[in-house]
Amino acid sequence: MKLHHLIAMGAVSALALSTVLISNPASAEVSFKGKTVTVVVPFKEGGGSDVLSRLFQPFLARHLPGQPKVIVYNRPGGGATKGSNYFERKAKPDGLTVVAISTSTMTSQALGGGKAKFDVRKWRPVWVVAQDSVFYARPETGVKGKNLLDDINALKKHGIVLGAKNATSAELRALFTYELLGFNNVKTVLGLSSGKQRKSLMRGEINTNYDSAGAFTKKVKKHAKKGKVIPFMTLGIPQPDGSVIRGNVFPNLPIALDAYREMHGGKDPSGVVYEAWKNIVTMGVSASKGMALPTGTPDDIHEAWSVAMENVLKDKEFMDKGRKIMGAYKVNLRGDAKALYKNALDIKPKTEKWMKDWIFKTFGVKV
Amino acid sequence: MEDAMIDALVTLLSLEHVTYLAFGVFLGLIVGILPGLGGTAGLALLLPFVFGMEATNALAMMIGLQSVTATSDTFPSVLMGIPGTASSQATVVDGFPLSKKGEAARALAAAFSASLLGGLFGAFVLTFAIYYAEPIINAMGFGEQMMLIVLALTMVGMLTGSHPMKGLAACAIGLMIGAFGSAPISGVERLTFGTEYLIDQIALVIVGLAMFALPEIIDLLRRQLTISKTGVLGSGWIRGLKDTFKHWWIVLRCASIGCVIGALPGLGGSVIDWIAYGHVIQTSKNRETFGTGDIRGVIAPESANNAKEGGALIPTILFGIPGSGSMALLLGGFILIGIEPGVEMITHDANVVYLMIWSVALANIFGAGTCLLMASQIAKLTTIRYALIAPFMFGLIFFAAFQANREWGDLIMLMVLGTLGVYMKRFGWPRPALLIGYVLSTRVETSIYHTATTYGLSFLSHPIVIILILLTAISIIAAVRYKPAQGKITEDGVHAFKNLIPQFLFFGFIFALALTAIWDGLRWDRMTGIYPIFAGGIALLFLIPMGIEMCRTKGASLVFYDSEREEIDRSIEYRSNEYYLMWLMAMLGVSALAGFVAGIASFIYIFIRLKAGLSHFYCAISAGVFVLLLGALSHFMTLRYPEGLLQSYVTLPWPLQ
Repeated sequence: MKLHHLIAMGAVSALALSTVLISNPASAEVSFKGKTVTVVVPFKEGGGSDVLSRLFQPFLARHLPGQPKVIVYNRPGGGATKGSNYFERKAKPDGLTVVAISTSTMTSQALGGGKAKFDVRKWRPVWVVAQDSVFYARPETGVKGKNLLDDINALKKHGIVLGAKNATSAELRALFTYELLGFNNVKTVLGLSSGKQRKSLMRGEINTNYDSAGAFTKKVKKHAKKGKVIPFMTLGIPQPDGSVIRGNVFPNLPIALDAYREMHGGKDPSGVVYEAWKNIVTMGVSASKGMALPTGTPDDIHEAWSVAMENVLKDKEFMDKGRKIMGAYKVNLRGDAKALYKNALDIKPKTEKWMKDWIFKTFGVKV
Repeated sequence: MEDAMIDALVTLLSLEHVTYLAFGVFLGLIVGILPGLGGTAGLALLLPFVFGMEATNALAMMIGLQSVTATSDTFPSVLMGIPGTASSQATVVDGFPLSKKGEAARALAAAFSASLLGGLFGAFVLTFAIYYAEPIINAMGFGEQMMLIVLALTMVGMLTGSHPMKGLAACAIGLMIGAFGSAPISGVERLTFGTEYLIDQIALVIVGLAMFALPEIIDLLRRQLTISKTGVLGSGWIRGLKDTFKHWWIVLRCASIGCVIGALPGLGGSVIDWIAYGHVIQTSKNRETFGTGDIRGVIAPESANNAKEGGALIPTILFGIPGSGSMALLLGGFILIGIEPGVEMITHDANVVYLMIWSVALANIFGAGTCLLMASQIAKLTTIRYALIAPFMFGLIFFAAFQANREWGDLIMLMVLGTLGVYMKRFGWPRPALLIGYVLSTRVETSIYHTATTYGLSFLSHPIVIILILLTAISIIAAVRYKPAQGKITEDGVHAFKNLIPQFLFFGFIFALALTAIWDGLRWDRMTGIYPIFAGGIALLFLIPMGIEMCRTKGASLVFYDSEREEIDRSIEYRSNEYYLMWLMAMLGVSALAGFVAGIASFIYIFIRLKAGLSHFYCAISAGVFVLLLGALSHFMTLRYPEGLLQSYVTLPWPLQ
């Protein structure tokens, strides 16, 4: 039997098996009754975004109009690039598909070298939540956790060794922070996931580390209580209006900008380094996790989702469980959510050039 | 401590706990038996249900599922030559030849009893080790981890086949395959040829299926009417049980290896079976039969891969740091139900710790026991006409490959690497060596960099490093002294000096691959490019002497190998490798037009019609059953199959989308 016979036979039998269905046009009032809502998670099962999406799954099903079935669809790869591209390509603006957004969605758009075929700013965000970053050090660095300026001077004298996943990841927020604070002896060990960073810190191979507030509370706080590590600052949380505030989970820790102000006679930072810092910190902290509808989703559908989300947040059962995973951060909706993604990704050409030059100068890696 | 133990024991044996555990075990057995789905997929499925459950019940279910996926995956490995999950790849090497000899029931019985003992041993060690493991694990820094990886690499010495240079070159191919995709240190995308698919590393499951499953299925179709050469089952499972007990010393050693490596950072679960396999060859007398169906080659990896689960729980419990993807999910589940892993747990919640450990043990008893009881029945598959089984196997492996990234590229990659595997088999390049090289590739790259940046050469003075260097030296000496089974060199046999063009072409292809890796490496910055150059360079180091030998030898020699020169049973319709590869290409072609579900359905239909000669009615039923299976999986696991041209115009109903 020849090959083209095979193909022909295959095509015929495939057509014979299939029946064509044309879906009904959406009705005027927004209701997802009898429909299936898909949450596209561009990460593997078990990651932070996946666990969060599965946490939301039953509550969205309860509070979306018409109580649709909600499923989580993992489409991992390329640090969020592949799944987000898939969403951009396939999702229709009918409210039945949303995408989970995390920091790496934005870093792959900003620093991924053109493989990202989407623009997060054009999507219609449903909710965005922050995760503060806590910085901590081993005691032999001289960090005491009493006065931030003293700690920074001690670290400058001792030298910093820290870990990062790679040269273009969201962990640039730590490196840019040290750059902003005028450090010139930072050594970075690349190729370390955040779990491996914590392990090598405990072994003393690196001497400072940073973690999201949630990971810090779960995994590092117990070491901090015994004095094995000393938390000394957080990044603070850039707001939709551009100001940077202290997070409410670690109210006693100073934020990095406090140190800058003290060093420079109370002046706020400005210039290209600060612009880059704010872009990266908004990506990594303010817009740490979120969810969005595709570009061009009509206002009524977007509003239906926003209302559903408000109800999820008010759901007593969700408040118990959600707090464990999300922390006690404020969830931003509607215009605030939109503004955060804009602040994160509106990178001025001059700032972008500085970032890329800095990465090349520090790691020898061309972005 | 005793109070906690008794408390845990009471909970463990309560009806409620046992029921949830058994349910977890049941789910675990199912996801394990389907190639490509492992504990991670199963746990992800459970996670939404865990939210509202009582902590100990959820725990029982999760541990039950997690502990047995490495048990049931032995079925496809032994019976079909398809590695069910990464942890049973080494089982294929001797397990499948046993099936072909008609000893499937024996191999399965030995595998499951070894699994069971290994799992119990792991739980036993865990009961005590949990108190003392912390300082040892903390002492495993970058240097120690690197030496552990080097030690694992020396296992290649046991798997080089009859020509050492060829074997080492095959390992280097594995190292090169690991160079594709984003560099683990810089994050820069290298060797992607501009595609989106290659941003990520090529998935282990695809490499495993391509090296073992696809070539073996094609080979069987060409050479045998049934998997079991004799067409009967032969000696049964009692003999397999006896084998395990006879080789109790192997079980104990390999279970210890599994347990220790599972607990230590650096290596990860997917090479444990290979290390156990290499170890048993190193330490055995009369080892000529390994690779051709030696029961010891089944017992060793199987006793290690279940013991590993116990070992991997140590860092998960002690530090809250998961050792694998499924452990990460388990940890996520623990936190959801309010269990906070960490050293404090051992002092404060010792009863929960014991409950976890012993749940592992009980799950192993349930899981391995169930499999053991079913072994004889399921082994009958090996006596069914292979033309009836093969199309389903092809369907399953493409389904499994698709689980890697869930995109079209997975199917294409399996086809490309599978073709490589078919020719490696034909020309005698040892595929296990490639797999070891591949599994370790990323770890080689990062661990050398981490050690060099952090320690320079000072790591050489660490005591654990010194011990590991000694072990490495012993392992290398064993490899050098090891003489694997060698076929007779005859002027007409597989090593003949005849029709060498295909062999030289394949050699040239591998050579070009090495040059490509080096060429691509030279384009990048140092952190991105040094590894492809290193891997390609190692390949050349072995390829060049091999090429010189090929050119200068003028007679039958071990350097030549072509399995096409073997006798083929005349009663089977003669078809070439290429013929069956074309069938698969046609299947992918139909899939490109009408989607994977339609593609595989029509493939099964036509294949069974033409090759097994069944009536249209039975062909349709066969294809339909497979479509329903895919449909059910897509429904429960939230999967979407690769779409074709057709789907971009019309929306098809379940299960055809």
